[in-house]
Amino acid sequence: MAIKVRIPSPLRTLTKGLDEVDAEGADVRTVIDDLERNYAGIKDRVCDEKGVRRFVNIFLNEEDDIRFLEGLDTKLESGDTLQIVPAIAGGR
Amino acid sequence: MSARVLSIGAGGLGAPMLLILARSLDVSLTIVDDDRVAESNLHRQVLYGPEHIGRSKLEVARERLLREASAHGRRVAIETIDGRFVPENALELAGAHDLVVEGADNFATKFLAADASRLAGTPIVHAGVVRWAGYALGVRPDESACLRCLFEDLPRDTVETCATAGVVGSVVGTVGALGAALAIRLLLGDETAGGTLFHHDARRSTLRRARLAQRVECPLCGTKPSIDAIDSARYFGAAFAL
Repeated sequence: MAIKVRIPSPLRTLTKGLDEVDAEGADVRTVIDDLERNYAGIKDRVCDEKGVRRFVNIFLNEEDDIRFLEGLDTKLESGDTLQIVPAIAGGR
Repeated sequence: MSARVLSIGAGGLGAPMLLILARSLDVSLTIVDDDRVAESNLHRQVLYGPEHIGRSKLEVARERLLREASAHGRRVAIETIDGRFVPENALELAGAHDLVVEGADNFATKFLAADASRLAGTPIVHAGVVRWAGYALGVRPDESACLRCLFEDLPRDTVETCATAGVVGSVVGTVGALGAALAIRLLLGDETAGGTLFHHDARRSTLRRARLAQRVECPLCGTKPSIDAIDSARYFGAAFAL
């Protein structure tokens, strides 16, 4: 499955500055594994041993938080978009 | 009686939110801040100019907001608190207002504001920005997802802030305006104003929104919440890591 993944600013140092990349996978877990193959280090920034890190969210097609679907096992279809949204602290 | 709004901070996000509120509503504003105007603030903190460098942000904000309100025919009262929003005053401050808006630059304050607002039953607008992106989220206590439904707890890793990574001025303005719109909607009792995450990416000129659901296991607003009081230890681990 060809999936678009939107990369937040803090992770773009790992994607050569790209804010959107292509990845392959039938579910979120395999997409993240595929990202890791091409952009080493990104998996550790998004996931820990329990799953998606507590201060990171992943949205499917802009609407659905994968936590409320099947988490990393959420099934994907070709053309789907994943958006990685980390917590942002800045404001002053 | 006019609405009472607590602004945590009068910086990059606080400035546009306060400016819009003061021009738009008859409102009683309480501003908490302990900072002084610096030259590096000026590209994004729209309440301040070069002539204000070195002055207390509270003083300048109060003068400017009262002037703006008067010019727009609004009756605005402003109380200032020279200090920070901390565990010792959080619950009392949140409970004394009809709405909290926060544009804090650290996670400890953001989560403290979320917890205190929920415990006090006060709606809150969260906003955050860094580099080219930012978000805004309105929360109606018990009625919509909260910050802890979205991000479960404070990051213990080092994270970027405006001070460490910088921020584009337009992002602050855009997200601040989004936050102000959410604030007005919440004050008007708009039941749809809570629980939607607005995410702005200036590099792509996009605004995306995602509807958030309340998490059953949320420690703040889930079915068995574990946060029923403000415990300062809960915020310290990250407060000083930033």
